[in-house]
Amino acid sequence: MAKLFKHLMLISMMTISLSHAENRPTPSQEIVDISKIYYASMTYIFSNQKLINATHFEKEELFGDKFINNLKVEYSKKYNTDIFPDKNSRLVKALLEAMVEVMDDNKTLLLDEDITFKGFIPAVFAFQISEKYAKKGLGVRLKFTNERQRIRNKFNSPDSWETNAIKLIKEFKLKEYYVDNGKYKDVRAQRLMIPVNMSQMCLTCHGTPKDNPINFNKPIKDWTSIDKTGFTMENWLLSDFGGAISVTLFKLEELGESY
Amino acid sequence: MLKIGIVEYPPHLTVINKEVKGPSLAYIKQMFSNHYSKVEFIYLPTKRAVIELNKGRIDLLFPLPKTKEVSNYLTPPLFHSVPGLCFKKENFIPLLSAIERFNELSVAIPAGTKIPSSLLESTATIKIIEGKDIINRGISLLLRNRFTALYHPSPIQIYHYNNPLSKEIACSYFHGYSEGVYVGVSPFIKIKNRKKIDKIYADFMHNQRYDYYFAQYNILSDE
Repeated sequence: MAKLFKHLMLISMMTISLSHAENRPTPSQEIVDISKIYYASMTYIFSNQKLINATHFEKEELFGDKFINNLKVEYSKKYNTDIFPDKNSRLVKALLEAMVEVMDDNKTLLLDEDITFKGFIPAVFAFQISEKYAKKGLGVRLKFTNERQRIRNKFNSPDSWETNAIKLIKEFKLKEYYVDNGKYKDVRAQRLMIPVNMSQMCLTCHGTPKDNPINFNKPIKDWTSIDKTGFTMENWLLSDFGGAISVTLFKLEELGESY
Repeated sequence: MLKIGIVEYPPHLTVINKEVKGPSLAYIKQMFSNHYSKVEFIYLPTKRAVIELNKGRIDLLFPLPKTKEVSNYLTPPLFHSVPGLCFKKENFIPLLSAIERFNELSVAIPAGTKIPSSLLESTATIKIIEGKDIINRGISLLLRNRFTALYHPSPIQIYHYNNPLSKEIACSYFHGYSEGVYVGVSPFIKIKNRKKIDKIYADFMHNQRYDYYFAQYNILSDE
């Protein structure tokens, strides 16, 4: 009986999952491009922590056009394509500019000869991009978020749509969740969410004390569960949900928001 | 003719050996120079500049965080300032959202400044400092270990690679608590001129936002 119930449940879940895939609207290229560029930029920051934390000045690669060129290489690797999204698209252009601006805002820290851990990790970079991008007055919001109880910075907390989208992504193992008639602060909005894969690098802060580089080469009795950024580690595993990128497009005039 | 007051706001506008320069000055110059027969920039101390603006002796004033003494501003803001904490480097805390690290922190806060809620809600010991030239006095006290962190409404003004002080201190930011820094407008400016200024400002900002100009300016100056 239990076996039959399990089978019925599985069939019902698969049906719901398929109906999700079949009935969902397709996101516009622009909204997909933004989410992919944002994800690729986080990966670039992720894989260049050594350069970021170095105490020398040879860091031209992190600024201006060189940063954008490196981002393009990362994008190409990540999505296995030679075609980078249209730089003349209003939203793409503004996003790339926001990235150059954020890197420049952090230049003093990045070039600091004495600070060996700058704290310029992907989540910090991503948040600063979100903040810059929101202030450009284009009717777009970009956020790296997670389930509310898994958020470290309250400004990254999911809203109700994002909470629901994460639930669906986890439940049906969706590669994306998109609505073209969603709401953002009570105005019409296109909303897209894509999951972010958990990686070993995430676990250096969010994993178990065993993953914490501070504990490497130390006896277990001396291990700390505080990560290098000062937060208590959450004991996440590689199989856990790594968070999600949320993109929202809306008409600024409908929101009546000044920027 | 357009008379524009300017106040010191490093690294956007600096005064070194009586020479006033910086990306915000270059940007605003470019913005208005093609539209007025003469654009005059007048460097003033902040308090005096606000008085001159309110008396109509200057038409515009920048860079200016919102203040109750000035009622009109061009929108959107020219840029945003992000508050933060400055430390001697050995005490540096990179992520200010990690408030668990604030437990043994004593933070000096200049009197009258708005403080981010996350700092108020933390267990850090708060010390209010008062008097004249508070920021400079605060820095000097920080360097003498009188407290472990100094709250600054815009740390980029002091923690900047062009400032020798950045060899001794490092600052981190309360991201999420940014505030606009504006171009203030005189209440005596004529409606027709105001409309003209609004249009020039909006068009110029639309073509190139100051934030991006600032980043490019820094890259070019460093090369």
